[in-house]
Amino acid sequence: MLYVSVGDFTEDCVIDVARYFNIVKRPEWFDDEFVRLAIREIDKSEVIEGEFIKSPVFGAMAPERLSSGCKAVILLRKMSHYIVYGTRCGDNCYPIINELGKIQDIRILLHHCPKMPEDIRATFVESGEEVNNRHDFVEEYYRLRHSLT
Amino acid sequence: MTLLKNTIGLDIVSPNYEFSCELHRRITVVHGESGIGKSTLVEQIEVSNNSPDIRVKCELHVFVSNSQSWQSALQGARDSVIIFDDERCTEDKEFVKACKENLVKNNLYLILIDRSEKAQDLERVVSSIKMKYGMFSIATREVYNFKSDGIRHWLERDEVEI
Repeated sequence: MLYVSVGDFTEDCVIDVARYFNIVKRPEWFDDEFVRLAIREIDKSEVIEGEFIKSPVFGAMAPERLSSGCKAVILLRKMSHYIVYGTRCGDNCYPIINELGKIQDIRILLHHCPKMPEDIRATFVESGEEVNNRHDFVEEYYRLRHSLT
Repeated sequence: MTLLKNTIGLDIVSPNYEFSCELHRRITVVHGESGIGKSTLVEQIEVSNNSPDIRVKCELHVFVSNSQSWQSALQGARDSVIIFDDERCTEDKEFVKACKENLVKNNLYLILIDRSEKAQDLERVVSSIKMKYGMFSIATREVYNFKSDGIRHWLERDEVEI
């Protein structure tokens, strides 16, 4: 399940996604088929072997050159005990975040309302409200943000 | 000094990357898809001083600041475009105060690469700076989507959709 918080930053929230990823990433992460899918879908790049990634823009590159949004998705997959700051993710990350939420529990903090996939499934932490479409997601997001600010 | 200044053009040209935009207000908020080249823009500017083939064309000095250096940047810089890439300091009340005090006085323009609502709130707040001739507010939001065709990058005004 995708759990969404909309309140303040907490101690277990990864805010500086890009730099944190660069420090904690491990080579074996890139053997994970879901991680490879995320890199392909978000950054249009292919993992060749280990941390050797082929990019249409940079050519051969290391994982440090992945976008912040792609790094956020990989952290959600590999460090699911943390909350990841989802406002670092572009709208193009949320289809794959939605898919990841179907196979494992992940947690994001949002300080903006992304354009979610139509079939987004999520549970809002502050209210316990579970939503299963974009319209209901947007309604609950703004209702909670209004009530918290 | 005026809140509404001439439009400031910013162009970056390097072997594999081009960027072009016009800044119409003191604060421009930029967001966009992941992987489209926003952070690469920041890198281009950071290394341009030491790189013969990266050209930054702007009538003002352009540099990148962060959560550690923003105070000296806003208070000390003059005639500059300052870029913040997903920096938490833009949510700080002291940052907002420093913007109100210094952007017009020091002729500074900010580009905030940031999706958060706080960044958009900051743009609205600074757009309503109380000047000696009364409250001045700007109806249009300066929030832009970062666009790319792979090599060329540009900004398009954001269409808000709910």
